[in-house]
Amino acid sequence: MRKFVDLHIRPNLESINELEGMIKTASYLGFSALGIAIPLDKCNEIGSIKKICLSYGIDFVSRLDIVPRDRSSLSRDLEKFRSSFEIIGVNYVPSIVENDKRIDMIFFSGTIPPRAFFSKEARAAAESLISFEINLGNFIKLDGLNRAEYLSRLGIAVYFARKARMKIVVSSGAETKYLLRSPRDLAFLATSFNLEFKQAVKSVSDIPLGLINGNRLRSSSNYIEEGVKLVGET
Amino acid sequence: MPYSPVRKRYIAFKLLSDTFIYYNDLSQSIRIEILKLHGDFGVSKAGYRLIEYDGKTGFGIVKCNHLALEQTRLSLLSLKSVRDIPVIPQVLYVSGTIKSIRQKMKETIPLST
Repeated sequence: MRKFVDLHIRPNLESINELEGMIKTASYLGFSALGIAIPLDKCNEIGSIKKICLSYGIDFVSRLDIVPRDRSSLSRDLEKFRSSFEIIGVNYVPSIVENDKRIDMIFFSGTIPPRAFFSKEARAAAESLISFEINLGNFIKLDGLNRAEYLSRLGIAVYFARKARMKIVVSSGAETKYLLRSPRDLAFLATSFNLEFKQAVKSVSDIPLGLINGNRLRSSSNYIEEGVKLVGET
Repeated sequence: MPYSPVRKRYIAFKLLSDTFIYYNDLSQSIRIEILKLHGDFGVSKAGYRLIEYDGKTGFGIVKCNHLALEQTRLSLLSLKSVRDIPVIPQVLYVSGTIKSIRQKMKETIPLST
């Protein structure tokens, strides 16, 4: 049976009830793993979040969202936190976020994505194996002209990301449980960004699972280097 | 056999919400969402109708034209609230006949509630 992952939810960690409600809803909707964005001041709560996830049969994936100010601050943050989080997402800022293999994915967090992600940027990101994340929470949240602009700009970015053969990940980016959608519904919503449904389903299941498993392998003690792992000692 | 150039599609869905939602409110909200997302032309072509909705279980069926299936489904999924009550829509099945979709829903409802 296919496993589904929502790699980006941004719950309010001040309220445990709200967090639990989100995890419960995600579990009901059919997700088997959740990437929860943890603010740096809440790192000590990872253990309790993991426990709540486990109680609903959800695999917890720790995630850090970085909003870079400049290249050096991004590099510093990546160096400091890469090993502490399973997924590192970076809010795309033109000319700051380009090619760094420590970044797992780039996403647009604002309501209006910048008009700055074209062929050159997509190719640079693809060379560093960075994935492109579509957060559908914004699409659901927005209305009117803002939504039209969002659809148009993100549609262009997705076009270039696909052309450069970047991996596309579809997530909800939900801040409340009401912005969550079931995996197949997320995939269907993603078709409005010119993804085929089959491809969109992979973007909610196989692609994010591959990312998580790859990063877990890399952080395990058996990992030697890319493509080489320790299977046993004689 | 009479022939209609526009075939119908039925979408079975479940609405998750903390509060009871009335049929009329939901019907109106879905229509407004189609209007917001696809405009006047979209509404006119969609042939949308909320066939049935049970406020207690949250299960419902929407009818639309086969050419407007994607638009209607997209509008249903982007519904975020009904009369300011936040909701989570979930599409369960799509079918060409009301009989088969009712049959499928009969199989689902005892499992989900």
